[in-house]
Amino acid sequence: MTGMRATLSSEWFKLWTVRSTWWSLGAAVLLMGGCAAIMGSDFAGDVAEGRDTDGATSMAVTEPAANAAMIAQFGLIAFAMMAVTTEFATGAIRSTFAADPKRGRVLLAKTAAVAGATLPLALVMALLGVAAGDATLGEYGTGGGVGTGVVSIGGYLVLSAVFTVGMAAFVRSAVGTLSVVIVLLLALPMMFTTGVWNFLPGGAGYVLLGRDDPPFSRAVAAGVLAAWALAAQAAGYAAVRRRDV
Amino acid sequence: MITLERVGKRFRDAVAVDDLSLVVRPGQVTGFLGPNGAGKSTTMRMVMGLDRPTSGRALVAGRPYAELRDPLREVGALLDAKALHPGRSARNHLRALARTHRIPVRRVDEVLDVVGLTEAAGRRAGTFSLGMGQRLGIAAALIGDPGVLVFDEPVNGLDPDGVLWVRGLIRSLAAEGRTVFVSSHLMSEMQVTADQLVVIGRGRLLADAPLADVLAGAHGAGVTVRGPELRLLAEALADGGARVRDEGDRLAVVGASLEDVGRCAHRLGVLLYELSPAQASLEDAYMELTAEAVQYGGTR
Repeated sequence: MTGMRATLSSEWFKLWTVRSTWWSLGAAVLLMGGCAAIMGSDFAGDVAEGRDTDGATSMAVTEPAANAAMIAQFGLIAFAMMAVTTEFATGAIRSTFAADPKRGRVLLAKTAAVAGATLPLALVMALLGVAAGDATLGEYGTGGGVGTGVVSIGGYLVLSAVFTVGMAAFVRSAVGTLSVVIVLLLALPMMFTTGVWNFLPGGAGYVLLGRDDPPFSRAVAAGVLAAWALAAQAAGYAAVRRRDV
Repeated sequence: MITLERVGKRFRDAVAVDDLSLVVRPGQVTGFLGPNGAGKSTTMRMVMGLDRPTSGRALVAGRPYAELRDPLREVGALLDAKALHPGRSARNHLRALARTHRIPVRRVDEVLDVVGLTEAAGRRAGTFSLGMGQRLGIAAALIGDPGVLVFDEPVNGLDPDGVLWVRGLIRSLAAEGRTVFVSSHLMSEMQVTADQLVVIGRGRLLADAPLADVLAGAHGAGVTVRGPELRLLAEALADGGARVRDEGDRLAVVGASLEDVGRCAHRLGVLLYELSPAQASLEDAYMELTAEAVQYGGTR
């Protein structure tokens, strides 16, 4: 009998039987630990040697992790994207849709498999980033809000992965998907940090990761990012339902 | 059983399939022939629910593909041997498919054995030759032990051994009572494997008949006459209702028997060097049927 569980089991199996999964997830973990450590030791070194740090003499141990997440997310985004775009690029999507012609269910199964792999890994990455930040900041690190920080980073990474799966189903090509995701998640929020721009996925993500002077709360930011993820999924659903493969 | 009910497929600027009605029956091999661009692959993709018909319906076992409860147990298809993730091993590709239908792993090993890929099962599919890819595609088609099989150019890229093997497999699947729908551009291949022939050109149905009927109806199935001066005979035969093609020192006659032509020549006192039955090949029949419908033909 076909059904959601059978399709999900197939999609889950497919994730772990290609090398690109291990490469992209491994890269995400390394980037997280590495970047957080570099940022932490950079700040600690600057303060210790009296260089200009905008008057700051301490940093929250979660901050290097939050900043590192902006970079490390691309490992997870690549993973989420390839779960969809490689099938369209190779034609494997035809075997997938022949095995389960309920295309909405296939997209849901792919999303669930990616999210299921990303969630525990994102939390581990957040903890790793905080630990790296804590270790490298040393006496200049301040505790507090670690729980919130870890959950926020984890939530951000999972939501951007779900967003990417939906976008990939809508755009189909890897280059196109990556372009859209980079522009929406990274480029625009770096250029514009005021007004409606804060409600783009990247702007909301920036707030969720704990930017200074947030225009709204982290909970609102999580809601905005979730709404974007849902919208991308809806666009992906409409596209796979309508288009020939 | 595959049923097409007035199926049409229009792409933005072209009609790929035009008002095609067809029943592909179980227990025989139905060959699907047509020039490149005739709409064969599009038709097969519509049967598999991958392309949506612009009009009409494509049914498998009486239902549209998307409404089948366990599609892989009803239909197996080889549409494009390269349509798989090149980085996944052959065995894992089949295991992923099997999981969608809760098919036991034992069956994966069975079909690998049937197609002769047991040794190569652990290799990444991207490293396969075209022929091995075809075998893997056939294994995927067989995994649910379906009653309907759709093969798009299954002998493509196979070596002579492989061609013989596919031929035997196709025949035996039909002999087991399954519906087998096979496209090919190799007329000679169809002549030895198909029971029923469906010919399309420019998306339209040109013929749907038993192989023997298509052969018998071919233009070439007639009489060949050779002689020094055949003009009188040609005119008399044409007056008598036969179709006559003048080929210089010989005539190709259709619509008159060997005896008719002989009697006519005797009556007119025409000298003949040769009077013989013309043997039709499927190639001739096919060329004749599709002559009007060739889309990308060179000038002949």
